[in-house]
Amino acid sequence: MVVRAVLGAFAVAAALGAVGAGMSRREPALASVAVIVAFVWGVVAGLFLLRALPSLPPTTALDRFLVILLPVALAIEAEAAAHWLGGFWLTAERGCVALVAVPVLLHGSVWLEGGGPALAILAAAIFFWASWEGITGEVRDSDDRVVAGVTVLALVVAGLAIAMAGWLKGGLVALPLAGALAGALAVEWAGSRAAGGSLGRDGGGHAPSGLAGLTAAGLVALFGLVVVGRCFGRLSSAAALLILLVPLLAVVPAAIGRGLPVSAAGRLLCSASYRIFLAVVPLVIVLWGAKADFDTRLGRLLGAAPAAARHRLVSARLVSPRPELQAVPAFEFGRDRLGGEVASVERGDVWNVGGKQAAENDPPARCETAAELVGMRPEHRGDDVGEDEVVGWLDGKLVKGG
Amino acid sequence: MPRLPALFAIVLALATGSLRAADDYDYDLVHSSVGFKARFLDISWIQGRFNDVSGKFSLDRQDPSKSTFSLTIKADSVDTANAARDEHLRQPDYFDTKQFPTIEFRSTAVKAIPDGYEVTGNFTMHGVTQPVTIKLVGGKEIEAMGKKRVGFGTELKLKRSDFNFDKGQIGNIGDEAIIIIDCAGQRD
Repeated sequence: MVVRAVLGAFAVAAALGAVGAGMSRREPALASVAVIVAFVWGVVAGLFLLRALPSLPPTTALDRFLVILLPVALAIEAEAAAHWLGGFWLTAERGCVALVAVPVLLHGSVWLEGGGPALAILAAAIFFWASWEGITGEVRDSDDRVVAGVTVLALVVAGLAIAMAGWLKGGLVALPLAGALAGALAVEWAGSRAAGGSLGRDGGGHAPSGLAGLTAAGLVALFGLVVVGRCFGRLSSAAALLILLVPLLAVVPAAIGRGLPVSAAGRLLCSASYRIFLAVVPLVIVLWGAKADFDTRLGRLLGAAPAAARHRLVSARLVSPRPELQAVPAFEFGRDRLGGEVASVERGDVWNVGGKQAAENDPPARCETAAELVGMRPEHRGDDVGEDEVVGWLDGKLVKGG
Repeated sequence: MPRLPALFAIVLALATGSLRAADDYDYDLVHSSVGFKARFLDISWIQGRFNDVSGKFSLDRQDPSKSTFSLTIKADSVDTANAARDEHLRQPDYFDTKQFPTIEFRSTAVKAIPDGYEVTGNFTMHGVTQPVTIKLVGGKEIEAMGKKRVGFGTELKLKRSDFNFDKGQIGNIGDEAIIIIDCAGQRD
C-alpha cells in the first residue's frame, strides 16, 4: 500500500504537471502554477491510496498540517508564481504563516497549556520564515535543483524516522508527499530542458519559476512534518534539528560560493555533489539513530530485534558498602552487546540514590541476580533478561554470566 | 399550634437523614484501578491500566436520579508493564496523549438497580464523545480507617473505531477494548 501510494502520488503529480504545463506553454506564470497544483493533486492521490486522508474538521496536528498549513503555504506560492502579488506582500504573507504555523499545529494540545513555550515557538517561527523566504529566493535567482532534491530525501528520512519512533501513520504520510514532490519536480525539470530554462521563467529571466514554488512546498511540508513528529511522536530534538538543517546545508554553500571570486573553493562550494554530500550526512545519522532506537524498543515488540538487542536495557540494583546507597539505582547498558561478556558502564550515570551522590570510588560490593533486578523501575519492566543470569560489577566494569 | 406538627416532622426528618444532601465522595486512587484489555491477533489479551485517575461521585440514596459520577483518566499514565509499548500507545497512532491528554466520563442520568446503579453518561476519549450506559455494581457504604467508603465495579466495552482511533492500527490489536473500572470513594 505504501509503495502504491508513493508511486501514485508521483504519477498523478507528474501527469497533471505535464498536462498543465503543456497547456500553458505560452504563459510562463501559469506553467509554474500548474506544477504547484499538480503537486497538490499528487499529495491528495497519495494520501487516498495510503488511506490517510485527513479528517474534517481537523482535530489532530497531522490533520491541521495537511488541511490548513500546507494548503495555505501552497496558495501563497501559487500567488507568487502567478504574479498576483508583489514581493513585499508575499514576504509578509510568508511571515504571517510562519508566525502562526506552530500554534496552529499545536492547537488544543498540552503544549499550549498555560500559554506554551512562547520563546521556542517564536524561534521556530523565525527559523521557518527565514529558511522559507531565504531558500525560495535563492532558488528563484539561481534555478538550483539541488535543494528541492535533498528536500525530497529529507522528507523520506523524516517519515522513516517518525515511523520507526512509533508513529506509523505520521511517518508514512511523508512518503506520498515526497512522491508527489518528486513527480512535480520531474515535470518541472523536463519542461525546463524543453524550454531551455526554468519552467515558468520568462525570457527576461526574472519571473518566478515553478521550481521555486515546489522547493517552498517541500520546505513547508518538511517543517510541518518535523514539528508534529517532534511534538506528538517520538522524533528526538536532535533528529528534528538535523532534518531541518538539510535544505540549508544544500543551499548555503552555493550562496557563499557564488559570492567568492572564481576559485577552486568557490567551485567546490557550488558543486551539486558536494552539497548533496553535506546534506546526506545528517540524514544518514538520523536514519542510523532511528534504526538503533527502533531495534532497542519497538523492534522487540514486533519481534524484529536482533538477539543481541534483547539484553541492552537492564534495570539493576547496586549493593554498596555504604548503607545509605543501598537503594535502587538503575542504569542502562548503552549499546554494547551483553551476551555473557563485559560491557562498560559509566558509573557517574547511575548514582543518585535517595538524594545522595555516591563518590567516584565507592566500590559496589556484590552481584544481584537478574531475576531480582528486572522490574525494579517501571520503565524497565518487561526487559528481556533470563532469570538465571547474574549481573554485577568486577573491577569497575559490569559483568553478566550464568 | 398548627406549626408544631410541621416542625416536628422536620426534626424527625433531620434525625433520620431524609433531608440530608447527597453524599459526595472523592475517588480513592490507592484502592481503585482502571484497567483495560484488548485482543492481540485474536489469540490472547493485552492488558494494561491507567495509573493516574481522579474523580468524584455524589450519591443521593433517596433520589438516585440526582446522583452523579465523573471520572478523569490521564491517558499519559497508560501502563502495560512494557515501557516501549507504553510509549507507543501514547503516540498519535493510539491515544495521542499530547493532543488528547484525558479520557473522561460524565454521567447524565442515574437510576437504581437491584445491585447498584445504571449510569448513562458521556465517555470522551481521543477527542470523541459517545454516550454510554454502564452498570455500576456496589454502592454499600462502610466506615473504615476513619472514613466512610463506598465502592463500585463495572466493565465497559468500547470500539476504538467509534472514537476515531487510527483505522490503520486496528488489526493486530482488536477494535474492541474492554475497560475495567473498580473504584472506591471516600468521604469524611
